Amino acid sequence: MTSSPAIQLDGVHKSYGGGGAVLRGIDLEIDEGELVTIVGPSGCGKSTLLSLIAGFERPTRGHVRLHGEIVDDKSPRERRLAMVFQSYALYPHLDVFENIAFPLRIAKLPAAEVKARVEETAARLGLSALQRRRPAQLSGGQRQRVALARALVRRPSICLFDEPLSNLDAKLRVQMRAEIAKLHQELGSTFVYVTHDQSEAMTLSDRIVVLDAGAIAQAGPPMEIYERPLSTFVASFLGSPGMNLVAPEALGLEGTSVSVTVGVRPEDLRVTREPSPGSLPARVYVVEPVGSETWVTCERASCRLVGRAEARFDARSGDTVHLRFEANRLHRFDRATGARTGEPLESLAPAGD
Amino acid sequence: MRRAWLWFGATVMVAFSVAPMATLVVASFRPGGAPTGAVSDLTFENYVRVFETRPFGSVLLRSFVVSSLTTVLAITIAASAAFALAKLPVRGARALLAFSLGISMFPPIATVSPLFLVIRALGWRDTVQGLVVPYTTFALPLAIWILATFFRDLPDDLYRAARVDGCTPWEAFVRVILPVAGPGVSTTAILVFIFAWNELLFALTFTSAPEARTVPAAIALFAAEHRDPWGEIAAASTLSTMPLLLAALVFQRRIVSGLTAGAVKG
Repeated sequence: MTSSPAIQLDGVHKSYGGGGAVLRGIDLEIDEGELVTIVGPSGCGKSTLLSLIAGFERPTRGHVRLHGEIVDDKSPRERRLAMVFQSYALYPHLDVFENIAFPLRIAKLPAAEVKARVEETAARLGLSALQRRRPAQLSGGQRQRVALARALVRRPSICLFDEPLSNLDAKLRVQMRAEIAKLHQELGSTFVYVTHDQSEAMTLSDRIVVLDAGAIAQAGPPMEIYERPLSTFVASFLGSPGMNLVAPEALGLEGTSVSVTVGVRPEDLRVTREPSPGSLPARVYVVEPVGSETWVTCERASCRLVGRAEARFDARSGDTVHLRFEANRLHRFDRATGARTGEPLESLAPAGD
Repeated sequence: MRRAWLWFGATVMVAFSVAPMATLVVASFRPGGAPTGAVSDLTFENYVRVFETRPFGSVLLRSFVVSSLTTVLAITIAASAAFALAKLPVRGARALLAFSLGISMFPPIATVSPLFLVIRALGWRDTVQGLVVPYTTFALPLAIWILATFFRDLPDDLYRAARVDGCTPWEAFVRVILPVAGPGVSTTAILVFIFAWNELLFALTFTSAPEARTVPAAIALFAAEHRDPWGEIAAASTLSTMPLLLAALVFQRRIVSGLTAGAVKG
């Protein structure tokens, strides 16, 4: 007998009165202990998806199952999930201790146990010294920790995260991201993490679900999605800078009978000063040094391409540089539908410049 | 220079709003309620007479009981109604709110006669409930409206967090929404209390026994004699202002404190 997945969505549709569908037939299984991120641009339905799992709303069609049981009509209370909100949603009239203790008090746990568990959780998140402060007296990062502590104090089997780090500054965000990953390892709970930040999705996840306009565009482990995006949408959404998506001619490739868009990741497009066998000349449009390397945006055949050069690459706008890439690092997509095509690479013969 | 203008403006404003009140207080300490006269004329005679020749003590108590009960009743009902309208998925919440505001625009004078018949049929004349029930009815629309605005301004995530943390909707309301909206609830409570404390029309119509009257009705009937007892009217009015002044002072800090600071990102 196999155990049921922690969360299972069966053909979930959601539409609001009059308006179009926000979610269109979501099928998704999330296993016990997995950390799944749901990414997509704003308005793709990712927060609605989380609301449906949490039980704030019910699906228009389809079912939500938790541990195998259909929970469409169960309240959030009955679903026994924990959730971390983008706005933190701390209780401003309670101090840190009482905020963390709140779910335990509602569950009517004995006072001694409440105290023990709150103190343990507070210590784990480095909040021990702040237990008597009110939320208003805390910094953004501290508030975020309290929100995490309040979610985890119940030792939930499933914890939902709704863009929990988007209100923090960049440095704190990276730090908290690592902490969430570590908490996940330690607790072994199922985490569902919604974000619009592709770097969060890449670094945190066991599996990424990319949503586009209310449907799953692709789901899989981060590197699989990164290396084999199934559509131009996924290809351009994951990775920073985003994948170059151009006509074959821009990369010196002959067009084939099928109309295709060719994709190449900036890190797979080497930019050098000097030409080398098989390299293509291009004009520098803008140079962006990031320290460890330099991103060079070039123009070629009226297309813009971002490529990677070494750390101290010296070039100015208008200079001529040379681009080189491995044929097996190219991605091809149907120009009309944006879907990945199985066209063999050999049919794209270098045109020779 | 700008500061001077600010002070000048503030002084004019304060003088303008305090002058009638000051005149009233001064008159209450003068024989016969004369608004001017020598300082040596000051007397407590008016205050003594209000209590000795009239049942003003029981009138004050009655007013206090009626106003307090109205406030408790109206806030209890209005807060739960406003919470439902503001935060729960109620069909037609907007229409209901508009409807309730519409009711509050109904002139009370139009309802006095039919209400009187109802009160008399129930045998509620000269009773506390005979005033509390109609007061609550008329205080509700405004109270619901104000509280709904306060509740709607609270972030939805706060309610959702409470629900995820295991609260029933009622627990979420009592343990999170209500305490966080404390300043709004206090403000509304004061407004309802003031309304009930100052109400004259119903009080005059639904009471006839002198002891059953509330303060405004009692004062209005002071003058129904051969002379106008201005001194006593001034003294009684001054006394009746005190509870409101006290309430405003007590709740002022809560109203201003702004408890919601730090609830969400900031």
